[in-house]
Amino acid sequence: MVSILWGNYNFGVIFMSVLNQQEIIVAGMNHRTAPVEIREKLSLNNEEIEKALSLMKDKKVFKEAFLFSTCNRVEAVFVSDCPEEGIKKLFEILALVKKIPMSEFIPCFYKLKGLEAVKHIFRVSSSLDSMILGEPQILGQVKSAYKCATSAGSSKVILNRLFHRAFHSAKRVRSETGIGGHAVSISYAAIELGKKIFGSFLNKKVLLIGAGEMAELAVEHLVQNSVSHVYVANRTFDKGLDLAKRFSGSAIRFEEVLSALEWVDIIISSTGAPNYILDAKDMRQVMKKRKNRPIFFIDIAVPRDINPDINKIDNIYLYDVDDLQDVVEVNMEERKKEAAKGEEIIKETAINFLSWKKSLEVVPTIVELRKKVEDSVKYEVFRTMKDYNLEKEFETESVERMISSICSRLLHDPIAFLKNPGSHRDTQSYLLLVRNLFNLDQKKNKECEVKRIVN
Amino acid sequence: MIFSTLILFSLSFCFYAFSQLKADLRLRKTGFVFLCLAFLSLGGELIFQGINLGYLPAFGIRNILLLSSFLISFFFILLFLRFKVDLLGGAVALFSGFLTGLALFFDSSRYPGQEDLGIFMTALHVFFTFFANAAFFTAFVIGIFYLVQEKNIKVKKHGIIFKRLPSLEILESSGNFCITWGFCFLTLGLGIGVIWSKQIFGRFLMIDAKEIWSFLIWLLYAVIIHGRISSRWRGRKAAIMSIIGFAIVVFSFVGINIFMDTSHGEYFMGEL
Repeated sequence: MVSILWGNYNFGVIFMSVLNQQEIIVAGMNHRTAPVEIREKLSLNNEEIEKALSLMKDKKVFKEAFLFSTCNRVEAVFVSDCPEEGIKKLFEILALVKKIPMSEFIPCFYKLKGLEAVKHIFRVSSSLDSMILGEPQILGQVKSAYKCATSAGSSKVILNRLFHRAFHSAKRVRSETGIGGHAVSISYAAIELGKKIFGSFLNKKVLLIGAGEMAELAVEHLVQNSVSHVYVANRTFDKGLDLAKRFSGSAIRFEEVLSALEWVDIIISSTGAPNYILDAKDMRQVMKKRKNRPIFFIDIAVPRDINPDINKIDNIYLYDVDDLQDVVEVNMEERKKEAAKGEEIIKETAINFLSWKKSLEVVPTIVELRKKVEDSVKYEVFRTMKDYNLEKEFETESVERMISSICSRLLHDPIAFLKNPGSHRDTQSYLLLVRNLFNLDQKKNKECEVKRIVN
Repeated sequence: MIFSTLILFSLSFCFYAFSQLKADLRLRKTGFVFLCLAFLSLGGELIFQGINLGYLPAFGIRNILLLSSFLISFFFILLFLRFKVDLLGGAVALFSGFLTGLALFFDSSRYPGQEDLGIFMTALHVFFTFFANAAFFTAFVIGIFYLVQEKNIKVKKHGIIFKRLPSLEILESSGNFCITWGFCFLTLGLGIGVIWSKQIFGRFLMIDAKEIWSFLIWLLYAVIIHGRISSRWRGRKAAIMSIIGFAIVVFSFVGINIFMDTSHGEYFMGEL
């Protein structure tokens, strides 16, 4: 009888495991796979994402779904037991929502599943997949997209856990590697340099000569770093006045620049002048009047405004656009090196996540549940037998058979329910419930699991 | 106790070295904690000896080494609390540890003069001048860092050293801090020395090589401070001056005590 029960049980388990293979699928495109024309056509705003998610929710093939769109990428993550059909349906929905033909964007999409998909999500959240490596905005964007998916009710057990792990690993990558540590834009590089000269920008005065996007950006960064005052000198005074208003600073006349150099500490120069507007001879005089206090020139203009010779004078530091560009390139290389460390973290967390997901499959849960109940009964029965010296009276084999049948009888209904909780119910959440109810995850040897998945 | 100090210094150095490799703030903090512990343990050793002898243990090569090591780490801790820069930590742990280790090769020695004659003054004189020397040493190391960092910024080379070193501003003001304090204590130390000389020998100055050099050092640092205040010597020049200053300090301390016959020699070597 027992053996028949066992056989029956095994058969059922194998059958169900085939049926229940839930895969995590990523279908997406980014700046590497799609040209900008397609990216801008396919980019989704919040309402479109909500609409697409509700359409996906109606389709049976998507158990869980998540959509994410920035200017550089569109990513769809979903859980399904039939990946090919899911991807097909996804493309239909995207074409419907964005009203463009499918054939236009399908070639740009990459499709990933399993470990690759999980790693991809983690890499995207940690900004290892971004155009500018390590840029900090992406995590916030993923977070708000995730919020969108939860409020649409399309993110459930698996995706919830996936994204929480993604946020966690992104934080780890940021804190354990130096990926965000080196300035990779010219204006930030200038700020970092300034910090190495002045320590902090408190009580430091900035002079902006001329105007220009990059120069203004640098001034803005400086203002955020709490410089005490911004002066603007422009050939047309009114223009300077307008610009000064933007930084709540004050305008000075272009002729006053030389005297202003006596009391400002950072100069950002970006004029259209064809020749140098400042020479080493002038600066030697100025430095005497400054009592040799350090001064930092950032020359963004091309052709250059400031004679490079002044860098040779003590306590004057001059950087032009090319110098800053070099700094940026070196920093970019640094980030790439740090990214390699990040990949290791991602790999580790992705494997951990998959081992958790695997535990959510029906077979392992049933096996573990059965083992736990059987072990408990066995322990108590044999202890009692030992205490009352009953070991000789009963055959061990028959006692074990009895225990096995008790467990089968006891667990028959729960197991039957787990195998088939009903067509409209979410198996995953019941599995999670059972695992929590019986505390099945506690004793698990994580490393063992990791090895198993790696192999 | 010296052994435990030595172990603590080397632990501290190891943590600092690793923190430089791995850029981990926790490692550096641990390094600092070990340095503080080494400092305390060394202080304990000095106090223990002081109680044993009945005066500040400031004579003989062994004690001089221990005292230097103690004061250098004291100065570093002071600097850390004031400027929050603990970049020097590794160097300080290494150097102090080295001095402490060196002290192991020498025996403890006693005050060579008559014990009732101005022993308190002598100890104070030694303590203050050593404090000044420790400050000048720190200023010297900071000066080197300043030059390296300044060079990095000027030639636009931004390697790992550029990233680890603090800003020029902090280097400059902490160097300034060291030299000012060093100068104050040197003045005090020399003043006490002169008074002591009057008490023991009946005249203020012995006019020997050591005294002349000490006066020159005092003058040099006075000039450096003046240069800083009048802002003629800022930044690079000030850093170079503090390096030259310390080189002369080392010469007058080691060179003159060993190679020239002065009134300080016997105190330096101690009564073996």
